[in-house]
Amino acid sequence: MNIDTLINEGRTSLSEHESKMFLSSRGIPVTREILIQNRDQLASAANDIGYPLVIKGCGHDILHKTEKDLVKTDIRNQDEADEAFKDIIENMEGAGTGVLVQEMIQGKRELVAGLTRDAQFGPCVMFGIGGIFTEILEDVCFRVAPLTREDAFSMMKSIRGSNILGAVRGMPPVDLEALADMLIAIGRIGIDYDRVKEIDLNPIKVPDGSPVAVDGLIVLATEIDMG
Amino acid sequence: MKGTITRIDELFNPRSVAIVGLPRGLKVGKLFLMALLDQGFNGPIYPVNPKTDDIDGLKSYPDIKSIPGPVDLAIILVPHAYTLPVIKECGEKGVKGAVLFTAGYKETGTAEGKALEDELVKTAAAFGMRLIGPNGMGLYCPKTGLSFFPRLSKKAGPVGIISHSGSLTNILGYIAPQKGIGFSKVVSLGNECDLTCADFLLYLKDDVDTKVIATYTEGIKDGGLFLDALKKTSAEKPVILWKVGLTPEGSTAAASHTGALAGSADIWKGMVRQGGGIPVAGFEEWLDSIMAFSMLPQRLGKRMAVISGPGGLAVSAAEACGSEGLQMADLSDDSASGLAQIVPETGTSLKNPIDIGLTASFDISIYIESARIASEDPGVDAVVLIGIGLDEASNTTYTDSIIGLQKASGKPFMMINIPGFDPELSKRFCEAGIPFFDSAERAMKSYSRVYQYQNRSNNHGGTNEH
Repeated sequence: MNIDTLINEGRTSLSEHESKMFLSSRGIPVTREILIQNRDQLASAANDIGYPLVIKGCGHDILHKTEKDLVKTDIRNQDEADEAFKDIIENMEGAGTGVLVQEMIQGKRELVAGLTRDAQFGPCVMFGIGGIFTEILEDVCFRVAPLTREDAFSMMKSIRGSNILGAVRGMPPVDLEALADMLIAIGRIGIDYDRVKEIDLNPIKVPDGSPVAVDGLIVLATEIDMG
Repeated sequence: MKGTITRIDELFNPRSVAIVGLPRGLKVGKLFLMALLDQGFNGPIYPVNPKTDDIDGLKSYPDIKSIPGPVDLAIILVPHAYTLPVIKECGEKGVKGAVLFTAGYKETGTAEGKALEDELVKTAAAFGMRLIGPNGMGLYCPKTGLSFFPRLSKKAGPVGIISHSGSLTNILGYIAPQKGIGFSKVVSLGNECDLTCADFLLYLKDDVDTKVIATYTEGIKDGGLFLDALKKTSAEKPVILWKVGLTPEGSTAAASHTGALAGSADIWKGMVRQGGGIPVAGFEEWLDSIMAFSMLPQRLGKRMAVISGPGGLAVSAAEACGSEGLQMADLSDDSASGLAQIVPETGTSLKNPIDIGLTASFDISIYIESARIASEDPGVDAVVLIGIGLDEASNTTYTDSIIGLQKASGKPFMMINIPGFDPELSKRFCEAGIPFFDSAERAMKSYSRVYQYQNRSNNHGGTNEH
């Protein structure tokens, strides 16, 4: 997938799968997943990824997947996969470009990272507590891109809930070096691609301490945004 | 063309100043002449006004080119419609920089305003001349006798100020003597058509007279340049940043969580942390921090001794100490026995905070001796005093003795106001380099800021931003 091609096509956002392929090409760890178009591809995709699975509706025209009931988690076997696939196709109502068969990432900790553009300071990286309550908790902080390694570590200490990154409740400590790599990489994208307007990695989960982006969204700037 | 920093330095050290459009009568523009005379500028001041040849005893010239000697700095008071030919004339005369006091340019939002401003900047640049403003008051520098308002403090000192507001610098300049604050270089920037906040940060970074920098900003012209200048400057000197206009706007139709959460205040907060600056909110915090940073010594410790007559203030000071990340010092046995000999037994507490009781107001030596004991205790890094005597004589003794004690001990002292304490005496503390705060909460907060700045490399980003 070439982001420039999509930009030239006049797209204003990338699908979850496109976003993750792009993020992955920039060194950001994302879930293993396969995009399928029809039911015949389901069994082999499910076997390749391995149960338990997450199955999601996917498309650049699809926002708010959870609200539209396009995310089915903890799929344990072929029967559950078939049923989830059927429901999702129905709920997609013709939108989207396929169905994502994705590894189910374990872990209770949910982080968020992203990119935004500030009128005065340009691309800025965000980091904080993720999950569905991100906007309610508002425990996030920002740094102007590009980020130094020191900036990335300072972000991790700057949130109220910074202790969540340590060894808490029997969970291993988060690999802070890997998390720093992720934040620095997000900032680099903002510097390298004027047309990337916003990035959202939410949630980022940390199975065995290593951060992985479970969902990803990239919003592109339109000609109008670019002035 | 000369480097920006050299140019700014020349503007702060002008051989002569022309005031173009100086009014004969008592109008606003007259303030600039009054200011220079009051501050004692000792180079020639050239009024330019074609309608007269004498203003307040100074020879007035019809235009810039008629001035006999060289002109380094021009203060331009003519309405915006007449500015362009004046700038051109200044350029031809070899003027190094001009302050544009009047408004009416890009900030009006009109195409004419923008076109005029662009033309001014272009014209000045062609002559290698730099502009401050529009809508700025320019430069104030006690050492070289520059000022933009009458009766601003004449005391030179370590504080450099960069402000988007002229009136705030005037207020600060009025209060400064009371707080023992002296200025190295002050600039009222206005709308930054040419020289910006970032330029002055970099200038003050290298200025040997400046030890502490404080800024008041309303908007930043180029965020990248500003952050870069802040990083470089903060690495050398403390930069206290007060920013207004941080209420949420923008971020309206954001499609992502990140976009929705990105208020300008959050980004500013992160940027300040990244740049190593010291964020403050409001005039009081700004003033307190300027005072603390310019007076408190290097290598502060965090073990505080609090001595107070009023018991409630002793307790609240201890609480503020904890909430600002400082510690209440453990007093030595020697200190405890020393205090037991002078402090009455009832209604007092000899543990830190040391509540020496109401009797101390009748016998001011109890305050002084307690402070001496605390300052000599090796486990105490700083002494905080909350005290007052019953009459003028005892308050004077208190003031003189504590100033002497502080000098002898070399440890930092902070004084806390109790209503009724004579402002003339609090001024004496400040003049002696002992900061005098209106409350213990403000004192602890300011001390903590200085402490954190001094230890910034050890605890980079050590506290959360909320």
